Amino acid sequence: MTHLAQIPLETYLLAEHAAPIACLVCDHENCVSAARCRNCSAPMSLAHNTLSSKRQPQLIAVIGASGAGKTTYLGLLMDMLTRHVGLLRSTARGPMSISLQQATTTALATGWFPEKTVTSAEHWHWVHCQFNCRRRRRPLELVVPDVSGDSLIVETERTNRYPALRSLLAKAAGIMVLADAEQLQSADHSQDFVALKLLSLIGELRDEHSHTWRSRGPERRPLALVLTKADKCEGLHESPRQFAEGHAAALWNDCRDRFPRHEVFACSVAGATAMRENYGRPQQVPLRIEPRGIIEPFGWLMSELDENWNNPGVVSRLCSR
Amino acid sequence: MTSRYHSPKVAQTVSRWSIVTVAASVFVCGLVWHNANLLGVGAAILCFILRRAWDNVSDDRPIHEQPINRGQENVRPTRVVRANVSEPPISSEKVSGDGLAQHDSSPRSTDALVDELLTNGRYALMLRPDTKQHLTQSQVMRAIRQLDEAMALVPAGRVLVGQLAEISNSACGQSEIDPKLARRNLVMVAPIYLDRFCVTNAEFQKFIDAAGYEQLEFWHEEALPALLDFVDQTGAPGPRFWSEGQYPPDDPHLPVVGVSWFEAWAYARWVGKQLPSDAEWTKAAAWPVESAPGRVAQRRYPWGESFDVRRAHLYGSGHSAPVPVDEFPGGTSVGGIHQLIGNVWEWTSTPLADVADPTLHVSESVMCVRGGAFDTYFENQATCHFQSGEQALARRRNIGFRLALPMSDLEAPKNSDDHEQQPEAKESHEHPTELLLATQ
Repeated sequence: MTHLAQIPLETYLLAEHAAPIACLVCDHENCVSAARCRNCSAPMSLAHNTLSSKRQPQLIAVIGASGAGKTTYLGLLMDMLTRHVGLLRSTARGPMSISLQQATTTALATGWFPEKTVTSAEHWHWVHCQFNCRRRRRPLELVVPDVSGDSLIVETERTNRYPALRSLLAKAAGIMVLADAEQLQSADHSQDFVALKLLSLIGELRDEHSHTWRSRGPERRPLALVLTKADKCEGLHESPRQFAEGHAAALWNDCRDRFPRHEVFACSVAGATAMRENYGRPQQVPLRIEPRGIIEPFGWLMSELDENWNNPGVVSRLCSR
Repeated sequence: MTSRYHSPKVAQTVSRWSIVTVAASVFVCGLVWHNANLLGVGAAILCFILRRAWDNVSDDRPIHEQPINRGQENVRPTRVVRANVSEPPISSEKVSGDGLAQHDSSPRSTDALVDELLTNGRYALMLRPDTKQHLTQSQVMRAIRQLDEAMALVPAGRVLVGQLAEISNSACGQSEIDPKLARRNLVMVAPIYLDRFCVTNAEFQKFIDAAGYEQLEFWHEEALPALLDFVDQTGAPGPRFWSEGQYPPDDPHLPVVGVSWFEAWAYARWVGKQLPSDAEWTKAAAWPVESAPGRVAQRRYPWGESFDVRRAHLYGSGHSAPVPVDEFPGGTSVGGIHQLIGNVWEWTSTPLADVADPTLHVSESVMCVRGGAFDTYFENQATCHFQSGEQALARRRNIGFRLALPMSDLEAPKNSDDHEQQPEAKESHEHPTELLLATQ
C-alpha cells in the first residue's frame, strides 16, 4: 500500500492501465509500456507497429528440428531481401527486425555458423517486415519469428510450455518446414519425426481453433518443405521433389495429405563445410558462403498468401537476380 | 636411338600387365568375398586396360586399314586425331622428344604436328628443352608468341599465404607475428607463367575431342576408379554440365566448370602445364613487394585494397551464372591476369590441410580453391588471401581452373659445370624469348 501511494498519479500511467494492448501473437492483454508479452514473451513492438500502421501482419511459422538451419536460413533470407534481390524486397519494421540479419551475416562472414537459438523465448528474434514487389502496389506485412528447434520439440511433448509457439502454429498463415537433407540422405530420420510431430500439432491446433476459421473446410494454408544443406547432396537442387520422395517419404506424404497447397524446395547457404576446433570442441564451419535456393521458397509462399501476387511466373520473376 | 625407343615400350608393357594382374586380383577378391566395391573397382580398371589395348591394336594397323571417321557426324574424332597426330609427345612424367624426332625425316608431318599442337593450345609441350631441339626456330617462335599471348610471367619472390596474410592485411603488418606461423605462411615462389584467362569451354573441348578422357597416361592414379563417373548429362565423358561431349551452344568463352580436380589435372598434363600451387596463385594475384627481408606488403585484391563491384563478378554483380573469361577487365592483376577474383573458383594443386590454420580439420582430399565465384556472397571471401576448399572429386558449377607453367620447365637441364652459376642464369632469363633462344 505504501508502495502504491508513492507512485505519482500521472495521467499517462492511468491511461496505460486503462487501455491495455493485446499481444499480436497470443492475444493476451498487456500494459502499454510492456516490452514483451507477459504470457508468451513475444515483443510488444509487433502490436505497437500494427496499431500505428493499422494493418494486421500475417504470421509465418518456420519450423524444423534443432540444427536444421532455421536461423541461418532466415537471417540470410532477410539479408538478401534487404539487398533487393530481383523484384522482391523487404523493409524492416523496427530495429529489432534487423538483429537476426545482423547476427547471422556477422557470423557467416567471419567463417562461423550463427549461434544456436536458445530455448528461452525472451531471446528469440521476431522479424517484422513489409515485403514489396516492384510490380505490385499492395505490400505484404509479415512477422517471421526465429524460434528454437529444441523448444519446438518440447512443445510437441508438453502442452503450453511455450505459449508463443502454440499461438504461432495455430495462427500462422503460411508454414515452412525445414529439414536437413544431409541427414535425410544418410538415412537418419530423426528430422522426419520432429517435423511429423510438428505437423501433427499444427493439425490439432487447427481443430481446436476451428471456430475462428471461416469454415471447417480443407486446409488452405500453403506449406513449403525446404530441404536445407543441399550443397552436400548431389543433384538435390535439380530435383528436390524426387529427393523428398526417395529420402523423406513419410514427411513428404504427410505434407501432401495435410496441406493441399504444398511445394518442396532445396536450399543451401555454404558451398562447403569443415570442422574447426573451438575452445577444444569441434564445430562445423562454412568454408565459403554461396546462397542458393534461399529466396524461392519464400517467394512461392508469398505468392500463395496473396492472390494479387499469385499468378504464373511471379515466383520466378520475384526470385530472379 | 633404337634402345631409347624400345625400353619405355617394354616398361610400359610390363607396367600394363602388372596393372592387369592387380585389377584381376581385386576383381577375384571381390568375387570371393562378395564385395561389390572391389568388384566394381577391378572391373572398371580391367575395362579401361582392355579398351586401351584394343585402341593400340587398331592404331597399330596400317593407316589404310583403319576406319575413316572424318566427316561422319556421330563419330567422335578420337581415332582421326590419334592416327594423324601420332601419340602426343608425352611419355610417363616428362615430355619426350621421341614423337617429334620420328617426324624429323618428313618436315611436312612435323609442321602438321606443330600446327595441331598450337591449335590445341599445347605450345608448352613444344617449349620443353628436349622437344625444342627437334624444332626449327620459326616453329619455336610461333610457340613462344602463343605463350606470350596466353600466359603472364609471375616473378620469383616471397609471398604471405593463409592466416599470416589475413593477419598482416588486417593489421597493416604492424602486429607481432608468431615465428612458427611466419615459417609456415611466408613462402618462396619460383618464377612461373600463369594463364591470363581461365580455361574456357572451347579449350577444354579440344581435350575431349582428342579423347583425353580415354588416355590413361594423363590421369592421376587415384582418379582411375572414378573415371567412369566423370561424365556429362548424357553420360558421355566430359564436364558435368555438358551434353553429348559438347559444351552448351553459344558458351565457348565461358570458363569450363563442372570439372573435378582430377579432370583439371589431366587437362594440365595434356597441354604440358600444371595447376598452380596455392602460393603461386596468391603471388600472381596479390603481387607482393618485399621491402625488407621478411617484410612483405601485398594487395587484398589484384587492383588494390578495397572491393569494387565493377571489377569482379561476385554475388552483388547481379548475374547468377559465369560470364565470359574476358569480362570485368578492370579487375586485371598487375601482371595482366584476368578474373583472378570472381566468376569461378579456381582449383590449385595444394591440399587445404597443408595451408589452413591448424584448428581447421579437413581431409587430405580437400584441395584449395581460390578467388571466389559469381555466387560468392561476401566480398571478404573473395580476396587474394581467402582460402576455401573442395573435395577433389567434386564437380561444381562454380569451380574452374587456370594453369601454370614453371619457368624451370622451359630451361635446358643444367650440367654439373653450370650448376654453380644457376642463380645468375635464373635472373638473366626474364623474358621467354631470351630464355628459349638461350636454350636453343
